Amino acid sequence: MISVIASFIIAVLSGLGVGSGGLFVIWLTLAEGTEQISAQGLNLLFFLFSAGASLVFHVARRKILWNAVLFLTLLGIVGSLFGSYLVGFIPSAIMKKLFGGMLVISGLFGLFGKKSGKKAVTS
Amino acid sequence: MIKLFTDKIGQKTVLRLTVFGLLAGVANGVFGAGGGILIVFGLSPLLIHDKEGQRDVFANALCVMFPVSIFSMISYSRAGRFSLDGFSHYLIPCLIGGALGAILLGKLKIPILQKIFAILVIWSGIYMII
Repeated sequence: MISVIASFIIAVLSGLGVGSGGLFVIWLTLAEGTEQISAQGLNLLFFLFSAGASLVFHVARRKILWNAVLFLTLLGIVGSLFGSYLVGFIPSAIMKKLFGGMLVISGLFGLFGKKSGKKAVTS
Repeated sequence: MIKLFTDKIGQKTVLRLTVFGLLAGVANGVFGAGGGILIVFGLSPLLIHDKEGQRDVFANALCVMFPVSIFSMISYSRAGRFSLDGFSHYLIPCLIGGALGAILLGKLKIPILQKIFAILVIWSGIYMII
């Protein structure tokens, strides 16, 4: 029951853009003792459902730069295939520490990162 | 000036999008999370002019990370890196929670929540490292 409530709260936070994508990994590894790389795979699946549900609302309400989205998506897919291949060579214990480092960095950005107010770079 | 599909955008912007797009994908593949923040940085100069722009950039990042995560997830699945056992009980709360979060966006004081969770994330990160 607790895990159901936790996953609901994490999904709400993800929909709000508050929680970094790592919240579900944190829950699985620290609270449920799931192995790091397995937790990462489950987090991807979790993200697809929670983001899929919120995406419909965001696309309907927000200004989407479809060309930039398509461009970034294609590059992101290339990067993700490389990254997913790379993770096969990293032991789970080391992966956990790397993931921890990523969390610290993204948390620091969340705390101290400036919101950009610059003009669009169009030339 | 460079034509990115139909929009004319600067060379610097194309380079910025290329670097952040690739890095976001690699991060998503390696960590199974975390690429979205890089897309936010990449797109910020194009979208963030006000509060609404901040929400727009988040929606755009989500549009990018959704298909990218599908590819990462397929790669993880094909390599047998995770099992679906027990995932079914997360499914409904995950779907309802995600939709509720999107509906609530703009109605809650997000910056305060963001700071609280940034601290939680830092604490968890340190816990994982040591």
